Amino acid sequence: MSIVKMKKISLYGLNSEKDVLLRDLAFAGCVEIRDQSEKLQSEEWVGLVSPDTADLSLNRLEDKMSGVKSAIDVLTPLASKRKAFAPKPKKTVKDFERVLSEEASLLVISDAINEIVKRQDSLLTENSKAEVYISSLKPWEKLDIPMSLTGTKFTSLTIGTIPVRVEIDELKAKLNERDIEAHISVINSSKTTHYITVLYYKSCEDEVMDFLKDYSFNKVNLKRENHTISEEIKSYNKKIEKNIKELADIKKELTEFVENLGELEFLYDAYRAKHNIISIKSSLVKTNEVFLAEGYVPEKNTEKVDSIIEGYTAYVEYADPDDYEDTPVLLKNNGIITPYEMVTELYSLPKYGSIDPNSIMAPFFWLFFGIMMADIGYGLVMLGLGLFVLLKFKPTGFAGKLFGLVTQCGISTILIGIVYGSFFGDSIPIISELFTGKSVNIKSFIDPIKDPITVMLACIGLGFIHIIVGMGIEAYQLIKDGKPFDALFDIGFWYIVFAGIIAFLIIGKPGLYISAAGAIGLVLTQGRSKKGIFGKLSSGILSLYGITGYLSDLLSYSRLLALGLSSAVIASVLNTMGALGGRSIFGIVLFIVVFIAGHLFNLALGVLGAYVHSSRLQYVEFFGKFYRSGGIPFKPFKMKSKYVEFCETDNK
Amino acid sequence: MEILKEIFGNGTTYAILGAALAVAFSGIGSARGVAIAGEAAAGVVAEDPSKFGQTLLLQALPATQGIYGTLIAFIIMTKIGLIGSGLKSLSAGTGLAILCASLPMAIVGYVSAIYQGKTSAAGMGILAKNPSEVAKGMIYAAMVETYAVLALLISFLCIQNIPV
Repeated sequence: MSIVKMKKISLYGLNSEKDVLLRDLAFAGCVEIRDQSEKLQSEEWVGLVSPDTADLSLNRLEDKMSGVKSAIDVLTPLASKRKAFAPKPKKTVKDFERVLSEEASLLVISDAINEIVKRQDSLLTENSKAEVYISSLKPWEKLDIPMSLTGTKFTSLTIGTIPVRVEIDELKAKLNERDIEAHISVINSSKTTHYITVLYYKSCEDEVMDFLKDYSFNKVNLKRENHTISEEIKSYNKKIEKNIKELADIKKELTEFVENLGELEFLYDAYRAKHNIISIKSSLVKTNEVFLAEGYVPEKNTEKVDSIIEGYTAYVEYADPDDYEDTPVLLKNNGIITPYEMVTELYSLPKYGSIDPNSIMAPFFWLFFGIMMADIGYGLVMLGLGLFVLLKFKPTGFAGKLFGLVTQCGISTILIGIVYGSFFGDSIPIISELFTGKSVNIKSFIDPIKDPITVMLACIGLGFIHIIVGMGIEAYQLIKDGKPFDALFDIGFWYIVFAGIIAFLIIGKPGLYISAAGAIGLVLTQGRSKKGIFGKLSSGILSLYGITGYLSDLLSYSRLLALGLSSAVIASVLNTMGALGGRSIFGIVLFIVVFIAGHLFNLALGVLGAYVHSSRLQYVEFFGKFYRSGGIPFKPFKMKSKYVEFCETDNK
Repeated sequence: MEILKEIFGNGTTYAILGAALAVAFSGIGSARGVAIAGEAAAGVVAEDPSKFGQTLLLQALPATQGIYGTLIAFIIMTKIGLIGSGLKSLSAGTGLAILCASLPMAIVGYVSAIYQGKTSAAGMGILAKNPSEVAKGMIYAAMVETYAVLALLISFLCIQNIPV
């Protein structure tokens, strides 16, 4: 229900035991270790300690990691599909040490896989090159002379392409006209190009070429082979076939490696964890024999750290955090409240030593969301979806919080929906009329469309409570900080003003006197930091202007009504549209289609709007009153993993 | 004279004009707003297609004004009996009152949707550089929407309380 109490931890250990000690701490995952390098500059420490040099093995480790990773990426698509959200295999310290000691044999496997993949890639490029080559030869297939033949003693044979817009007959006529002795024959024609051969006397080569150049002739050079083009194509096709066969073999070969996938993934994660340990190590300082690690640990975890230390020659010291700005923040709430941490974390974590607002904010967020959605049907959909995901997949972290929020807000949506008498808008009267001709109504306690003013006043009243609570928390913080007078002046007097206004609304004039008393208090105290009687008085009077701020805050809560109305009215528009087809087969089909598609759309839009606007009411109207933001999240030093889950002991 | 009375004395025309203005201007505003956000979204998705879903959320934010406008139009149509109970005959005064009541939604809907679109587009920048903070961009856009919500509320309350 609060911000977890932290202790500053200083851990002294032997350099010789550093690796294993850090490994055990990482497995425990409850200590945040801070970078110590600034000690090297401070006068107190300089000369005493030296930086823990970055381990050169880091680079080698990264090489190994990328090798194993690419092997994993090759095997993953070949392996049978794993279920989404399937639990990761659990690994202990012992497993971790074992896989690292067996790394040599696993690296042989991953190298072999990468070698095979290299061969596969070269075969694939070879094939695609061959295919391009074949398609360039294809048009010349009918030319059944050896590819190396370029003429006889007196004649020359040139082959090339010419655009289709050139009429070949015209070309031949032009040749005759100019008296050039050359013979053109068309081998093949495509949509854009003629493939032609030109036979001419060697003596008039230049003439022929000049002539042809005017018609965009493009000479084609063939490889000097002694067989025909069709034979060349055949031989390349054979090569492709052979490669394909080899590729199939390679695939089979790779499939045989799939059984190693699990171990490779484990090795990769072990490398990652080791990498993490080495990088943390390099941020520590040491003397010849001893190293020092400093950071933070939640108070409740100190015993755990003690028990880890027991096995080593090490000494640990705990102290209360002195610098609240620097102390990391970890929130601890029960299962009901935890989902709402998502809303707070999005804004900013509270500072260490201030108040965790989640348990106070949660009921408001829950209620506001419900008022903005306000529909039994939509609430049931949200509740169903939320529970389904939570029970089926048991998501953790962000997804767990998200679906927890969906589930809980589904409940408030149903409750307010009952108050408004809304089930998918006004679907019940409309459906009953469509099918039976009689309109059945569900009871509504307040209908926001017919009686919006009552609902709006209720929303603003709710907002008033929200704001009062926010100010109350600030008063509590001020008193806790030893500033009770500030609490009285800044918040108490405003409370008196508000109480007077309420009294005025209920019993009339006497209320005004109470307000006036509060206002006088404000005028007298709000300028207390200013110098001079005039400055004090003027800023005191100006502070009364703050009432407009509270007024606009209150009006802001009218969005609760407006968004609720909009989702209700859209729902009823959808129902009316769906019912347009009347009581016929077509009408019923139309109704079902419009009902499902339309309400899904409205639900999605409504959830987005309700989430965003409930959050805004917390951030601007509520947090603005008291929240001390800017806490640093607690980032424990732990075993990071992707494929497996590291845990300290075997018990699951 | 009779013709003028026929043209200007008919309250129903004014009321329908109000509905038309509310839906048209809010709709135009939202179309522009969604387009502005969409252009920015395309840039983000070009770099990283996996962000499509999140860009869609941001892009949808300025779409609400168009829906609010439709909502006001629908309420006017129900009020004057164009939907449901049959068209009522309105005095010119009542019709004009309904027309005026639709103006907050029409005007604020138009302007706020465009500005919200710009804010959403800026939020796309957050999404591109720091995806975990995208919800903050959504809150910024929602700050703009506040005024469309207030306009909706006033238009709604006015129309609801005009006696027909």
